[in-house]
Amino acid sequence: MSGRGTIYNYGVVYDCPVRLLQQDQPFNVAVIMLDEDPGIQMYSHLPGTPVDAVPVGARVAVIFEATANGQKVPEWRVGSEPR
Amino acid sequence: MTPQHPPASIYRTTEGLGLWEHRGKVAAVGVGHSPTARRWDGKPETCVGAWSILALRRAIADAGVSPDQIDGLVLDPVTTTGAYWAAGDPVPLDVVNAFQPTSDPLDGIAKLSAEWIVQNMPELTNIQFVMYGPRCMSHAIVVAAQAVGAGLTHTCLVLKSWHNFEGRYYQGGANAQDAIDGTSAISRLWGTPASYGTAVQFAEYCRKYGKTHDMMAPFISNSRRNGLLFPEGYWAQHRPEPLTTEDYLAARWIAKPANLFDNDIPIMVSAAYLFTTPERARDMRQKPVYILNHASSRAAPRSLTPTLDEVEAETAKTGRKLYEGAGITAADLSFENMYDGFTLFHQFHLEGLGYRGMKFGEALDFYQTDISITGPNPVSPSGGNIGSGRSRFWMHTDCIQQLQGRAGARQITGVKPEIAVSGGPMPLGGNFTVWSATPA
Repeated sequence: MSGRGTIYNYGVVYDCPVRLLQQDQPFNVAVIMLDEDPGIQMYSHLPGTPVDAVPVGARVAVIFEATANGQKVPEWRVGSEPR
Repeated sequence: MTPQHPPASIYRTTEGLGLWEHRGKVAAVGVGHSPTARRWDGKPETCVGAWSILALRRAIADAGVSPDQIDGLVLDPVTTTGAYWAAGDPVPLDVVNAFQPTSDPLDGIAKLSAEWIVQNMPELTNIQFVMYGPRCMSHAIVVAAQAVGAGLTHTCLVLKSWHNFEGRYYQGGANAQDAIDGTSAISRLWGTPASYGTAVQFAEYCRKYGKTHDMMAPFISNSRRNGLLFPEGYWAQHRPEPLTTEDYLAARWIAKPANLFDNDIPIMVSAAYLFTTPERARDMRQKPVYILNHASSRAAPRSLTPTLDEVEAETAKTGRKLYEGAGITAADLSFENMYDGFTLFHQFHLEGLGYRGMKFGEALDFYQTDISITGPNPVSPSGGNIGSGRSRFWMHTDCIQQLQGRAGARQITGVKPEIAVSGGPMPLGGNFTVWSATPA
């Protein structure tokens, strides 16, 4: 996998059911479609992208971020290289 | 009497099946509801089991049948609105002991088995057929309709009940833990509330068709207005407040573009219907309402959340299946009562049906016209979940009552109630029914 994709869609979460994420509200949750198969989606908070300013259709690259408990998760960043 | 789970063969999930083999040979006659409450108050007489019994007895009385004539029961054993009995919390024995318990002390409190119902309704002496209809009344109706049509039961109770406890919606359990593991992490790690998937489909819809969220306001106000005319509903019973365009547009976001009023309010409530054959219905108290067809969607999205293309393809397919099996066209619909919890997918159902000639992308413009119960194009005359709280059954009750001519202040007047459609929940994954005032 190239680790590249496109922002297909997004919403902004203001009322999150997951306790560990409530301190970060509001936050973006974008739907990413992978270059290799646009039918495969991944979610992302799009670190670095302001809330509700998500550029639908923009190119993104995967990064790995640690959550509040240290759990590493795949995230996506607009216009960057995979890392 | 061991409850059965419905076999896959009963569902009409594909096109090309022709007329439903039991078209017009199953009738809904009796309707019964419990009161509503926001949450359980801990008393035996208001637990989900007690309210289920109340709804069932009211449906039996409404139909005017003797309980010993009833030989079938279809219900959903899962009653949660998203609230679960916390592990380790003591079971309220005063409630358990107020009834004939089963081996599970939470039966009748946080779940509902057929065994519990039959044990606590001694007047049901002749139950021969029991089947589960999981998730919602839409599913239970399909199961019961097929069972009556096939002769597995001739007088069948159909029950759906909901419990709700203290605490916020879906904020307990795994969501309250310090780590999220297993496959659920694939979606849950991003913290999306239940309405998120529908919200992003709606966002795509607005981008594609040039629509805006504020165009939903007439639908929301119409739903609450109709709900306030539903005396069995939560808002009519507890908070009889209109919902204005200003209220809607000022509401806080939950998952933008879904706001508070795009989400339904979880409540406690039970409803029961009595289904029978047309021959037996002749001797009952209420006018029978005939089922012309049922259809089910079992489509799954290819990935995390359905795309707009997937939604539109499936709702259109559902419409075609419903019409084919019922032997009708969209032009035959007097009104529609498709599901609305969440509001932002109601237009997908409408457009898939082609209600009043509607095409994809046109529903929000349609909402700006007269969609009231007094006009020629009623939309959600039940008021749905938005109008009466999260039950997933107001739409079915309303179809039955409208076609019986006893919807009271909610009775539609701009069009003669002859054929209606209801069902849900989701555009991908639901069960749908065509109802008629006449058998053919």
